[in-house]
Amino acid sequence: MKALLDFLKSVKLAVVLIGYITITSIMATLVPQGREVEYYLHNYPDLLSWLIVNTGFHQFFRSLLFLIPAVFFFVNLSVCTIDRFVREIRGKKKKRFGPDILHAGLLLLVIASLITALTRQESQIFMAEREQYRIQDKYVIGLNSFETQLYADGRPKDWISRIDVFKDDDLLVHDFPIEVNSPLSVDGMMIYQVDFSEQDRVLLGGENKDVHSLAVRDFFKSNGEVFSIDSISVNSANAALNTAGIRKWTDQSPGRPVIYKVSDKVGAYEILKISREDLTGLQIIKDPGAVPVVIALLIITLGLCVTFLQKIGEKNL
Amino acid sequence: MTIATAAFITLLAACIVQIVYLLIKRGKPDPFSHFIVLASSLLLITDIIMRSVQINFVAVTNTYESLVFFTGVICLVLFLYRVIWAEKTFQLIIFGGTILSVIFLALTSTPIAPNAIVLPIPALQSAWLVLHVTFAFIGEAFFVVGFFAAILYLVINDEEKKKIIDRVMYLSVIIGYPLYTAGALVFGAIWAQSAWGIFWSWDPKETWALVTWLTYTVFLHFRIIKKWRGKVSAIVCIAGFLFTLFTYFGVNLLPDSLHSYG
Repeated sequence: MKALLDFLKSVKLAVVLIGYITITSIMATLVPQGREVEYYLHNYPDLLSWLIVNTGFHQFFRSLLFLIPAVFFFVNLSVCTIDRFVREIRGKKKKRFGPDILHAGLLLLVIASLITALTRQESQIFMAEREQYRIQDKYVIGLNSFETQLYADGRPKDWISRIDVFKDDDLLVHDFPIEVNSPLSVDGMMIYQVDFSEQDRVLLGGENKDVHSLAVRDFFKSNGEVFSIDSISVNSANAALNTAGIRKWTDQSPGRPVIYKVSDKVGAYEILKISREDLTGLQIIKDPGAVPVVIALLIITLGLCVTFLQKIGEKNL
Repeated sequence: MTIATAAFITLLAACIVQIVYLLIKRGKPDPFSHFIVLASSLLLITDIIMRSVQINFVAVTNTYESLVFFTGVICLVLFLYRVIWAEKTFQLIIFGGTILSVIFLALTSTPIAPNAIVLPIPALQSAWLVLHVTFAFIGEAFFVVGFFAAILYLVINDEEKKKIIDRVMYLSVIIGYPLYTAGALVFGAIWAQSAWGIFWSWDPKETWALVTWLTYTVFLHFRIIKKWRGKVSAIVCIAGFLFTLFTYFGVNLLPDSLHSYG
């Protein structure tokens, strides 16, 4: 038992494991990660592609090649940290807790990363202005406006999405401006501004002042009848020429597309607008491991500072 | 003439003075080249401040600006080392750092580092990015000293000098390591979280930054194992800095890098 403990807490084991992780990580950056199996079969010699695919090297950081040494490293670090801390407490020498704090931070970081890997949920949505999107059943995100700011040379300066967030029909957040580097944190969820796009859209207005923004292949109901958007044609020079092809469905079969223009009626709806709309790309993330990761990073930083200050204070560096 | 060009010429002058003292006036410590190196540092930092005013943000958002900043910090660190550690032994370390600074500044005139003033894209407009870049480069500037000290350690035979050089090497790493850890890994991860909602994505640049950090971690742990001190430690220290350089310049050649802007 003592021999096993000595082995697990040895610095030599730590150095060997760090060396292995370092060398294999370097190799992993030389092979493109996460591609389809066919990519490796096509681009590498037979034996090498067989090795890459069958050892999981094409997804190295999720493979046993990485995870097993990482587990060993975690065990080594845990035993070493506890052993070192006990020796510090019992010893009569000047106490140096910096490395203990640093190692504890690293252990928490590994645990927090594991929580993230097992529990993180994320989804990406594209929305036009005045659209709403339901997520995780009880939340609704509504986009009030989406603004693209440009520098004088035409390069992007900022993207700003102003959104409402509802939970079970209660307004949680009103008109919050989400920008790159400035996400919204609400009810344990983070919403990020990550992308943008363009899409041709038809804006329908109902008698009850309900408004729907629809793209090609979207469906809508009116007076019990089902319609689908078949095509949208946007004329950049003359908006009056913009048209939408819309099919009416009967007994689950589509009819012939009928071409509509702005102000035409489709069932109980009126076509308010046919245009090319800017879409905002929002990323919604729920990550229970995020806060522990930040705490771990703070502990690591604290450990480094304490270690450094104590080292610098020593006469015989 | 641009400020960076003036700094380049100044650094060349410092190199010439150092060569003269190393080759011709052997035994006499070089009394003033470090002040010329300091002048270069101040010029480069002035360049960064002026660009920052022009773009209304801290100018460390592209390869040119990061090279100018990095070189400025290296020169400042060399000056501090020269002032604090005045022994003659270290003239070669200072000379190596000065030559490297000249090479970095020469790179700012090449297509790999266009010097056009470019306003930062939205993802780069973050205080975390500024902390990420500045802390990482300040840490790496100390690794420069460690690198040349390690080379010198392997080259000379005088055991007394080796002891002093070993201390310089170790000191540079224990100063650089926490700064690099905070900058490259901690602040970098927090910036990635605030911009994209993920702390770490195993992007090649991130992986190489981790590889560099692990290499210096091994170096520091070698101090605990007596028989791995000395020559092996020096080799690891050299490898650490070569990985630093590859993380900075080489990773952009690898596939699938998110860090295409720097």
